[in-house]
Amino acid sequence: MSAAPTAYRPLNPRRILVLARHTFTQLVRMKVFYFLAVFAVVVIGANFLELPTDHLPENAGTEILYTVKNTSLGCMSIFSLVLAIVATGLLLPKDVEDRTLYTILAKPVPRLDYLIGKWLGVVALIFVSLMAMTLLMNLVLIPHTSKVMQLQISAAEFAGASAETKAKIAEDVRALGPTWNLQAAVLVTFMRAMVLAAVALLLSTFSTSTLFTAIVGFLILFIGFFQADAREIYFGKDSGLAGKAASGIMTVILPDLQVYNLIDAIVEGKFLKAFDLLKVIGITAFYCVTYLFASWLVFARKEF
Amino acid sequence: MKSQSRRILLACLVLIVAGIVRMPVEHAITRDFREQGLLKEALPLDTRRKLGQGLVAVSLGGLRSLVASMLHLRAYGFFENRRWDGVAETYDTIVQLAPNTGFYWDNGHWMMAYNAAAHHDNNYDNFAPARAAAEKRRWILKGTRFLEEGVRLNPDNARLWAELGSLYSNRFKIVDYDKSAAAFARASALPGAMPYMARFQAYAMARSPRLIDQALPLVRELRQRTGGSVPTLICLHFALEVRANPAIDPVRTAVAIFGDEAKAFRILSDYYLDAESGLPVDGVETALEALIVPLRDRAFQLARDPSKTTEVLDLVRDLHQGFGGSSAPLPALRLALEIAADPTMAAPDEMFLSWFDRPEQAIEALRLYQDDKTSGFPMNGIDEVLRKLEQSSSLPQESPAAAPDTGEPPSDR
Amino acid sequence: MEPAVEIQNLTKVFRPQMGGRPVKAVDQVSITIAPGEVYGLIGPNGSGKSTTMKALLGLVAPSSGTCRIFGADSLAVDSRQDVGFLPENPYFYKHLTGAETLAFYGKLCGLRGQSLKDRTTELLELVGLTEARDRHLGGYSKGMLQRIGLAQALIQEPRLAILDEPTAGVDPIGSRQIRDLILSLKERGITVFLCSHLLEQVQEVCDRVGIIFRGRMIREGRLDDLLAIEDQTEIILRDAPPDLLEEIAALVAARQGAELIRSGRPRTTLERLFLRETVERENP
Repeated sequence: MSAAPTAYRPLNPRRILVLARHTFTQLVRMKVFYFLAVFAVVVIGANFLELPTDHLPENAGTEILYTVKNTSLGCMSIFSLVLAIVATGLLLPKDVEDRTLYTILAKPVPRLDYLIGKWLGVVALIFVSLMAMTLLMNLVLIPHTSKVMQLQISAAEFAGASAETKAKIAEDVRALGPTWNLQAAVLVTFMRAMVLAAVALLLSTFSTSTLFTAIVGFLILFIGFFQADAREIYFGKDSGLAGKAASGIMTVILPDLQVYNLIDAIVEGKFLKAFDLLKVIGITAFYCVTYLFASWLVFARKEF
Repeated sequence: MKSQSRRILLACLVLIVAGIVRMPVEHAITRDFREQGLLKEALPLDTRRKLGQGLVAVSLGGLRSLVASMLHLRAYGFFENRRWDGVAETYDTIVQLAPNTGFYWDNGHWMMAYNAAAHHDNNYDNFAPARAAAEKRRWILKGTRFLEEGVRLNPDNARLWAELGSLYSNRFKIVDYDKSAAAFARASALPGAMPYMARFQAYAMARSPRLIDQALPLVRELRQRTGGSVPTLICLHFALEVRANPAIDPVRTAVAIFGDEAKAFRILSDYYLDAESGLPVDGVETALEALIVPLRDRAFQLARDPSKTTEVLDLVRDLHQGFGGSSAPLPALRLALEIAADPTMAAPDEMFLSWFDRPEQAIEALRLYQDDKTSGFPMNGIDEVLRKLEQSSSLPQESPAAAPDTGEPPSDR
Repeated sequence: MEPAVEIQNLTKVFRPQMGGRPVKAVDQVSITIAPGEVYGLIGPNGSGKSTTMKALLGLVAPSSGTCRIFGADSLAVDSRQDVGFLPENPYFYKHLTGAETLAFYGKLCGLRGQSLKDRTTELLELVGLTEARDRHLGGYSKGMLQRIGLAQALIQEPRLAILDEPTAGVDPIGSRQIRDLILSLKERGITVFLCSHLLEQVQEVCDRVGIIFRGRMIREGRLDDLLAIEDQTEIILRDAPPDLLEEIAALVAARQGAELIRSGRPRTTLERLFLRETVERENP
């Protein structure tokens, strides 16, 4: 007598969730979260950083806000990208090597669900880690921001500034601290990692070596960064047909990650409109679906 | 495995098609973001070269502000070692990476136009004087150009404009009051402007031969606003009113503007005596000369009344520190009043000496004061101070024969 | 009644990626297993046993031929609902406990809630791992791993169990337990398809056997039929006095055509001796 039958059609959410949660636990037990401790040390350490004095007393303290944001986002970027590539890259080979893949595929689990489950597990791990790091970053930013605010407002009062000016100054200082805009930057970081994870998943479907996947993954990451520039500089008008063809294929197949570089602008204080964020989400979704679909194409008939 | 390779090719095809589909959309989006300033242009080649491979990679990854932060620390290191070229080059790179972060421009120009320039002004490197002067000028120019680029890229940053205005108004730098006025005008028009920026615009205009005639309306307006009672502004207002209408009575105007004669005298004195400020002084001297007479009379009258010594001290101080304050008997009178107010004062002789260029002048002044017995002025501590000064200057004590012929017997010394 | 397993003319050719000649791992193999049977596929290493199993599980696509499980094509995911698979030398996920492992696989099959919990407990008891249910699999012995593997294979109550080398590397006691389990499966009516190269053990549990060599099925049939030495008969007596033996010998000699080949004490197996001296001595 078989157990209660579930739909054997792919994209069963419950089944995918089981796989995702399982992947998440598996990665957590690999002591990935110790990195967070390192991050905490770095960010909290930035508190005690003795920064050079600024020219104007009105600027006093703003530099530490930049530093905290920069270092935090930098760590988050690096961590999420490394995790996306390496963690995803090791999942499939590990399953094949341990033969646990057979036990899963011997169950009524469509291969697509398996892939999505694995990917979601890594994505969930990255998400949770980024949440923890963001929380810490914001906690560190809040006291510094209020201190800077106090300094600048009292300097403004001393100079006899009007209420409007003080309001503008307060607004400017607030914009340097923990804002929704800043959280949007974290979200953009997260989305970039999602795309990289999908790419790594695709790579791991036809490469059986974690090392190979990791190396190629990082290569794709760098290419993604400067696709736009590289196109000019390396494959410009001087190169021959082969160069152009190679660059063309590269541009089309590989993800163009520079759209995610708006993190930088946000740190500098630029404001990201909600609609623009939606555009980025749209691009991310498109990439993820594309790479997951391609992964499935390769994986569906793969023989073990 | 043939079907597997076929599937891999199919996957590639899917990717290519997806890529072709997404490219125009992505192009449009990135172009839009670039226009908004959310995405930046590629770094120029020489910046990349300066950064080195590792940092280029990081900065390409959208962490330019992080690299800028790191470089800022490096710049500070150069500064501590007084390596100005290193400072300048690093700041050039920093602002390439983070062109919209105001305080990099601010700090950078400060390092160049102020710190580096002062370093050469003091000639800490022991160059030949001509070379040191040339270096100083070079750094001021460099800093100025740097800041000008900064305001070009950040036209909405009031502070940067104000800094540029200060730079052009600074008499130790490259002076250009027209440009200074323009910069302060830009600054004060922006939302985050502080009141002083409009005032400084007025000052710059008042110093510029070309713009001085347009300054009065602005000054009148500023007098109504907050910060409108700043002494310099009031004096400038006064001078511009006199300049615009030479027929008005300076004294009456001064009293009307300042409120009372003593205050008018004090504030106008300060304004007048700051000879290098370059601000107009139309009618100031006239007013001062007119104001000083009744004030002196009042002061001397009060000084003769022993019960009013504390009351008159402030007035005498103002007079001594103000216009024409070094003329007798003000210094000595002030000394006596100071000692009367605080008999335990330490080193009154040193204080008195500091008011003169040469000790002989001080001694002379005291002697004259002392000898004028009819003045009725207080004499507290005069004798001791005179004695101390004479001893320390080792002038020969005056013999009775050399004493001025007043018919009095030589007093005990 | 449809057969539990129906493999028809299965052929699988591997083309190595680096060039080189194609290898025919399985060549026109046909196997039919009736429901409730225990079928053993035996052959030396590299003979195509694993490939055949993988084809049955859809892990490998046949170059030609078909594989069906209870009528459903192996390449379709539906067929897996009825199958439980125990791979060779399984590792499973070391970070999970025994109970968690079973829960994981159960959820993949669609079980949940109380029924999943009950099933987990039931299976753990069946394979004798109830005490070890909360221990991480990293701390399991080889035999325990095999048993949890078997439990996982059965989590969704499949009608067919495919076991690849179920007793490889397991000590005699564990091996005995596994074989008993297989027999209990048979009692429940579950079809078992196992492959092994430990011939003694196959001999003990299987009803039918297929010998595969170099990708080809060499011989197939009921064990009794295959193994019976047709022209010999065995009689085993207890407490037989010597004169009775002589009588029997004389009877045989008198009959024409029959021959008494040997009489004496039959040997027990080393395994039975071992078990008798170790485990059974502890639990009389």
